[in-house]
Amino acid sequence: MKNYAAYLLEDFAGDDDFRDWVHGDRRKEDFWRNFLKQYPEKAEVMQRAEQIIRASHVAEEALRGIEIRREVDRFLETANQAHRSDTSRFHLRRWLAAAAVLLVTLLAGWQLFLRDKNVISKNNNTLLTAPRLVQTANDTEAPIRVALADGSVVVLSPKSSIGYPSEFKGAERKVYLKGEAVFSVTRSSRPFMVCTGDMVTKVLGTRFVVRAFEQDKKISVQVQSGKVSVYSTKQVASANVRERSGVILTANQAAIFEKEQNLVSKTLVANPVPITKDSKVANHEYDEVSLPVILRELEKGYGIAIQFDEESFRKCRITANLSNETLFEKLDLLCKTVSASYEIVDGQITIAGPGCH
Amino acid sequence: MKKRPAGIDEKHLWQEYRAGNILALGNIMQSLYPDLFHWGMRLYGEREFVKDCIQEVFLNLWKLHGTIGEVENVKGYLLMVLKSHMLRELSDKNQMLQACIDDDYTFAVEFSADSQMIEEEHEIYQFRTLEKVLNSLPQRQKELIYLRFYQNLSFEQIASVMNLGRQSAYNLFQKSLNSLRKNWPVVVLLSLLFGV
Repeated sequence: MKNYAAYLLEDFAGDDDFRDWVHGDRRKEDFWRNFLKQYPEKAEVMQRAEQIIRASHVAEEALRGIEIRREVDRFLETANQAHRSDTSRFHLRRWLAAAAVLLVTLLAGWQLFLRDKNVISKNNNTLLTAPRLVQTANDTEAPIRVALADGSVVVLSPKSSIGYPSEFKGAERKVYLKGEAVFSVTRSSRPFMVCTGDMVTKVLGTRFVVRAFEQDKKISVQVQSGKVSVYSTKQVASANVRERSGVILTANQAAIFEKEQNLVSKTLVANPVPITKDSKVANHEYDEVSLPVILRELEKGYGIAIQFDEESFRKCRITANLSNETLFEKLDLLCKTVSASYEIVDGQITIAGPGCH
Repeated sequence: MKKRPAGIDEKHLWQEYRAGNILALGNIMQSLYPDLFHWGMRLYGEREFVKDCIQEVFLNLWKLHGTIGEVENVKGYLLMVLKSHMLRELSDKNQMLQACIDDDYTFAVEFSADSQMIEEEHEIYQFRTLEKVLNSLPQRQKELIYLRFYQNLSFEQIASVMNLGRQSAYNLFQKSLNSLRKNWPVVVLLSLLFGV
């Protein structure tokens, strides 16, 4: 307790609590009121100290909120640019070396992000040393680039944010996404994991997009090419098994994660794109070609398994010019020709029909 | 007065910034900008120059995020950093030696009691007298009074911002108060807090 009873003018003026009280801080109101009652002889010197503090006021600078906002944005932009050119320069070659190109789209609920983080922390003995996450949010109208410590680069879409450690430690590289982002992941023996709510997308090093906006109830992962595994963290936490249940997605496959049911199922992306630049897929004229041959070509071209009864379709001869159609249009056309139909089951295409004789 | 209590938020944000969160540093900039700008304008009254200096200070801080240490009072620290940055910039600008400007910079402040707070007419005279004394104090004393009552710094922080020992800062403060005491207006002042 300070000896206020012996306080002189400079002591009151030099006292932080007294100053704050004069400045309108009411937390010490009772204290000073009681003090005055107890030491009425101090009233005059306190009044003087108060007058000095009030007279020491300085008019504020005219500064609009938008001016401040502009300056903060300017800082963030410049700092990000400096950071970006530092990292991207050195890792560009590694991108080019990455063999697979993935496109993963996650449509996910994000509110479970925190819970997911907890699950991971609990299962992790390095909780105390776990690096703190850096949060970067994109409040702008255009995508922004975020460089990660391992050289990976994230292009973060508007209204999205990502959490990542300032340095990747441990066996895995984990990031937490809310919204949409394109990841260019450097190859490494340590898997790169994108956590979105209760679902994790795991890759070894590739390029893909993750989308996980809060309002969506389903998570869907779409893979353009390459290999990605998708699994639910809920199962990991409860079953405590090494083997994680989930799906492995390859080219043009998609996974749908129903949050409420905690189920991951496999399907295909809305519009599969060829994984090779092979002209056979892009544009091909078939003249009396056996259907299985065409289907195998499509299978190869799009990297999607097509299941059918080889025996019954072998005799079906097709004459067609397949070029700009989408994969599904091509399948429609082929199936119509032989009175067959196709289904998408578990990320594959199944064709059923009477066949040809 | 609009003064906020000491920045607990800033201290927390500072930790996040040290861990590599640039947005935390952005938040610090946003919340302390008015104080930093006000301070900068006292040292050199050119808006764009002050804004550029604040930019450079924060860009430098961002570069240091991995190595910079804990800071007891973020605002006090930033006022100190901004001042030394500005003085360096100004010495470059004016082709002056650093040592020269360190003791010879100008500090432009005009003390003027918030007139909205003065209710009684006769008080106006009292305040004008006090303001006159305050404004006639030597520059270093004005700077100290400003840091003390506008920026709400502790003597610890004032000492580091003014590059003084804590005791020297307090002695300088006492000197200012003695000047005020000598020139005290004769009429008894009425006060808001004491409700006379």
